[in-house]
Amino acid sequence: MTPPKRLLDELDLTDDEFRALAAGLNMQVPPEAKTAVWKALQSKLPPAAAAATATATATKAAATVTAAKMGLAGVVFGTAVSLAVVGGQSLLTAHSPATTPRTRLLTTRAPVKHDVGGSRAESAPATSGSAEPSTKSIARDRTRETAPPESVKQAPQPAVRSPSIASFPLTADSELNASSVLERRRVADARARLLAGDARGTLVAVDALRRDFPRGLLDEERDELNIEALLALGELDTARGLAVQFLARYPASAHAGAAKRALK
Amino acid sequence: MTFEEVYQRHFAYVWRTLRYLGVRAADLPDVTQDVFVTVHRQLPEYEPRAKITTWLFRLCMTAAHNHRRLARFRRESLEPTNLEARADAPLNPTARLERDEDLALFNTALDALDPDQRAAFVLFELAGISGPDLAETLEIPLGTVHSRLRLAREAFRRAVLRERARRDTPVLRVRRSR
Repeated sequence: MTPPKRLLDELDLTDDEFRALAAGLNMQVPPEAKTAVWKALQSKLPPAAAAATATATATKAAATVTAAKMGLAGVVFGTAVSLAVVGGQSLLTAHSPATTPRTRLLTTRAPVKHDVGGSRAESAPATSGSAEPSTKSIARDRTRETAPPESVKQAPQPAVRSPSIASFPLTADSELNASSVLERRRVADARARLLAGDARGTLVAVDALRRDFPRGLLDEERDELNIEALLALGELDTARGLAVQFLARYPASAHAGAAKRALK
Repeated sequence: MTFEEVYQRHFAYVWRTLRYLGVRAADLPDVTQDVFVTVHRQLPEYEPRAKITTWLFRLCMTAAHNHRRLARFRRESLEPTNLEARADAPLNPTARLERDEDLALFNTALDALDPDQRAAFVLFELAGISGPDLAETLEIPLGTVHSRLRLAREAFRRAVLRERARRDTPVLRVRRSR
């Protein structure tokens, strides 16, 4: 029996289907929810368990009220992964054998250096002790999610803590979470445009990346593409300005080639 | 594994699974809490033969079922609220609007699936669970898994198409007859 392919891997996936799935995959958990539910739980658990925290006074109703105050009347939906129409179709075809260059870009690029200390480090695959697949978090803003709630901080901490949203790996690419898969596809698409001589298209793709992944894992690559596209268009002053910012922000970046060329 | 560890590691999994399984956004704090009360009660008897996420998923399915039963007369707005928008302040208005539309499309399409199809779809398409693991989680034969997945995907895709067509159709003003 042939195992079915995932819908996201289907070549005939429409833009709407892709966007809907991507939005669902990137659904975020409100950062305050963990604390609020934990506090409320204390009043419902036996005293021994509740004693784990000293702040156990909230009720279930209080949780709802707290949540409402925090803006949980609806779940906070996650990362904006809505795609530019022109980019979306290209991404969909990134799986296609006919798009080998882009697929190759997706699979052979060097590991991305994470630039934000601490928060990105938490996105590393969980080590032993995790009961879940060791994947990175899906949510874009994982720094909020992985920060333990105040009340939980008071409880005994597990020896190894995995990212809380690490339970939803995407397809066979187990190293990547859904958000980073999407981001990588978008970056690969932007690079493919540049390689194809479409520098303006690259800038459009870069702008879309900056909009949809404002704290993306691939910020360095994105900014590198931005500079390369500007260089290709002859917009040297703008490229130099961005290059200075790039080198100041990522002094040891593996993607500093374009910035250095711009400043020569 | 202690209760605190389960909570720390799997809170988001439970929250997201419940949402995927159709729990209203406004009810997520309460239903998530109910699940963890059950976790606390049953954890001493939990035998880690299978992944803990499998066990948690089953608890979520039960909680979502109860939620549906109790909330069948309620109708949730699928549009994200202003409060959600506020939480996404870094997004510009256009990006936020696109994101909200996509998410509403996703929720509408998921709502088109029956509960069994929905569970299979969530596990396979969103959680990345393999067919055999899905069969174990849902305690159904592998052939049934594939059948449900096929039907779920067809329903999802039809729903997306339908919803898109509905949104693209201009609202007609109905002239009130005298």
